[in-house]
Amino acid sequence: MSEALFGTLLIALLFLLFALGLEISISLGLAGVVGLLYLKGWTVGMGVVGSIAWTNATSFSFIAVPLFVFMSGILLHSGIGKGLFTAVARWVGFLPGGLAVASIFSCAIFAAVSGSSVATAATIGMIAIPEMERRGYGRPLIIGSIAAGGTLGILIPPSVPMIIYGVMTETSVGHLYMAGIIPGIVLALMFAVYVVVYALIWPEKAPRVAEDRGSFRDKLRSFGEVAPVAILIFVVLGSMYLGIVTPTEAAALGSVVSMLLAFWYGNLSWRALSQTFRETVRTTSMVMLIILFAAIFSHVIALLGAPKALLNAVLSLGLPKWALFAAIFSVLLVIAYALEELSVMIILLPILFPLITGLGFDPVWFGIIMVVWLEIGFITPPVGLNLFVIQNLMPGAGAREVTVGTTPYVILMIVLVAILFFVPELALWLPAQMMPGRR
Amino acid sequence: MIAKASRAAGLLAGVAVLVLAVLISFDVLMRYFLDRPQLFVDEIGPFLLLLVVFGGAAQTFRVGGHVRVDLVTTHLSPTARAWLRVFNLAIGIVFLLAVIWVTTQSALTALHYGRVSAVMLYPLWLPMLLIPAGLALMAGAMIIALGRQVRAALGPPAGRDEVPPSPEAR
Repeated sequence: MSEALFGTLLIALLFLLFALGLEISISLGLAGVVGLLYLKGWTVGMGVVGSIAWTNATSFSFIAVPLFVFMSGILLHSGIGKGLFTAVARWVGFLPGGLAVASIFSCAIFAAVSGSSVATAATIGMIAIPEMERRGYGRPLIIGSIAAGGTLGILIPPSVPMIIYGVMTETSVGHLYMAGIIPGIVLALMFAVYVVVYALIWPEKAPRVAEDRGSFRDKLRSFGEVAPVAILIFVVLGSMYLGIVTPTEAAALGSVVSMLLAFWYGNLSWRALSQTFRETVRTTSMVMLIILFAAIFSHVIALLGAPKALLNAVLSLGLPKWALFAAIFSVLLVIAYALEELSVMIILLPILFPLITGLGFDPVWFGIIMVVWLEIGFITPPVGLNLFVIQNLMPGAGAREVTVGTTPYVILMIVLVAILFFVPELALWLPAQMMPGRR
Repeated sequence: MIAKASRAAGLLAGVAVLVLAVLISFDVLMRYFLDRPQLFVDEIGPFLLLLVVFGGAAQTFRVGGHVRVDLVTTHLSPTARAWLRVFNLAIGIVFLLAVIWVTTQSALTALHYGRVSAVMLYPLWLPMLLIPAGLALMAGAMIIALGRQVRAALGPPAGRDEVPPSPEAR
């Protein structure tokens, strides 16, 4: 059997296992083992399985994954979100759709201490949603602002998907973090402008009340309320930008400081801690098993020379770079509507990354594109992770409300991807300014 | 017994996250303020990560935490879905047994040759055993789930559908 035919059969087997409903991690491992047994035989093939499992599971960089998930979980229970939202609302509450704008900016600021979009949406959503409902905001506006605002959690560093992308592709996680900051701020501003325009066109969907205009004294007081978040931002991002710590070390420091803050706020109960333990272990185990077993499958794909063959096939089309990128991103968009994106990213990266870099795109830039793609997937039904958060916080949120609420934000994210394509410096300028050191 | 062991391993994995945070922070502070990096942290850290990943694997399975694609299976009849899950669990168990076998062999080889870590010379067989141990616990949880699934598939027609891997699953 030719290598091309065998590779095609192996990929078909993988998709068959997915379709049968076998766990994604086990599907990847099983297809990988079948490939290794065929190519290398039992002794060598299974030896490779053990070696890949050990190498990936003991990567120091991957330690940042459970630590940032843990930190986000602690912050969710800490009560830090309430002070943040109140403070931001005092500054932007006067704007049309002020509370939705405050939700987005609160998410953007919270994103600088949280590596998870779900934790960001849940932390800000549990405070902001009841406030917006009380003021009579339209449900699609509420759903959209919290779901989309929450996705900033993975674009503005720290970011769990960036760690996974960075380690899998051997791209500097520190550079990826810095590359996400400006696009994250731009996207938050785009979201906010959309909300203001929406509220100007349909003022009845975002009623304005006098109490949303904070006094000067209130505004001064807000600095104290955001101080804990500012400290955390310095610990997590400042220390990394200055080259003092690695992303993994920043995650550890952030976790410890988050626990101290939660303790300070009086919210670090045993129940909250044990729930955070459970969620951290569940997320880490699920993601890491997919990564480990995907590494086995990618090893087989690499042995078969599939990434190089794909690159040559794409280059032979003779299409301009923008057309190739548009085609690749369009395929990704379709996938975002159908499957759980983080798993898909892990599965596709070994094939997609050599293709993209072979076409001459920057690895850090593509990391940011992948994260924006994940953000789109997180707010598209039926498997968008942030939508599950919304359904928990707003029981009865229907599919139509969700679609109406989130579609404008999906369009804005696609616009951001286009901007990043034409102005890659938006992502790449800041990493170039980073202090040399522990990246 | 598998349920208790899975929960205990999951809790231990959670505590390992806390220990990781404290140890790595300690290393950073010692390095930055006293110029005394704690080399043991660089080697203990990945071992604790193993504990988090594999210690939590079984409990994650029991609560339905390992992601699956249900785009196709939701369109099947309940009975077909029940038997398909029996098949899935069976091949999943066989796969895990193969990986358990090979990773146990690796750990035993490390023990036999006295392999140690690069800097602090910790014996490697112990952390290496965490992989097959965690996967064995997960395989145990899958065998119990298989039993539940077979009973459901053979049971009264009204209950013939895919069942959660454990009563703790949502």
